[in-house]
Amino acid sequence: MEKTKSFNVKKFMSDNAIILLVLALAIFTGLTTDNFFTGRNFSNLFINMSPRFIIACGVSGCLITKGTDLSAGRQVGLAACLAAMMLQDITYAARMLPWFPDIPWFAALLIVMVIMGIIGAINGCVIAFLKVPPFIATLGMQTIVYGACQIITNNQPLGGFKKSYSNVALGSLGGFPFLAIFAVIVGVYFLFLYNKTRHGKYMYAIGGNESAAQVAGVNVTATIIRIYLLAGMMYGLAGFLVGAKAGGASTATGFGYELEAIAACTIGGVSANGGVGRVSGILVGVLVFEALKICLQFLGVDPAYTFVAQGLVIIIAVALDLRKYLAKK
Amino acid sequence: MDGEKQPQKRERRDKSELNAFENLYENFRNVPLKYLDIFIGLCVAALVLVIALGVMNR
Repeated sequence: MEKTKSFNVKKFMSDNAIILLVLALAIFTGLTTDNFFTGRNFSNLFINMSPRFIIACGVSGCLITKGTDLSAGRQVGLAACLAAMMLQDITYAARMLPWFPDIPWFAALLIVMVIMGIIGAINGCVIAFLKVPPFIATLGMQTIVYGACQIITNNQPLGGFKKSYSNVALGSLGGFPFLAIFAVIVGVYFLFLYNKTRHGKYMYAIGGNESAAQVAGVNVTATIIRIYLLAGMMYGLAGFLVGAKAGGASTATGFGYELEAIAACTIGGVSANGGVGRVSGILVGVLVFEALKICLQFLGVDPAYTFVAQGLVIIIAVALDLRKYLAKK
Repeated sequence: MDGEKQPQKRERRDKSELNAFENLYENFRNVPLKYLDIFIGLCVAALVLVIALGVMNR
């Protein structure tokens, strides 16, 4: 007898509970408020999503290999501060580094990405060589980076950016914001990296079964270091963009971004238990999380309630991931 | 020889070698799915309640 695949509504609802919930909230917001379903609002949504998507792409590699990166948010903050220090206007009176030469924004971006890549590589080395659990290693790095950021900025907020840097966030190409273009490039790169390269295959193999991957000849150590290095570079890029978008940077920049990124990845189907995750899923996860924030903002909900709602969404996402894990056992 | 030794060493992985999430998930191994579903349902209800309260208190 031929078996037919029936659509399991309960399973679909359970797997996509948060997405459906936020979709319902978006429809409710659109029907009860003005200007929600407008091009401008969607443009703002994509601009807000862009740096978060880049961070989530970086974190996703760590999650797929059964790791995590709690230093992501603080690294974004450090990157924003570094970019801000290098790209303050030459005529700005309160310049943090008066001796620093006037360099183009892409040179500063390169420097920031290299520095953050080194920090990411240190994370990777600690995890791969010293076998420190990623949770602990990146928690330590989070505190180190935060402290370093306070030292180099003297705890002072940075502003007075040169115009070319601000334009990175404010400009657009054919009506398409530059920030979104950066995100699209990163998305396409990760799509290629995860699906078409040996590195991507190694990454999923390590996440699925590290011992089996090692026996099969995968260089686990090198792959893990590469993943964290790349993640660091992505935080560098995201920090650079966050600084440009905000028009300023301080030690508080990037606070809590790591949890948002991990939550977005989990909502998008990247299992915290490793071996599973797609770039399209990450995009959906980031979209859902940002849409939730924008909906609550439109509804005039107090930010305190928004934090509670975000926390609940994270708990639900992890609980759903746990449910999938237990159902497989 | 190394290839033979490696899996044996890995098989003996104790709980402390697992990452935080793996440990966390393994702790729930004996929890019936029914209870987890109830927990998720309660969280969803709480989320709806928080949003409703937020909208009413604006």
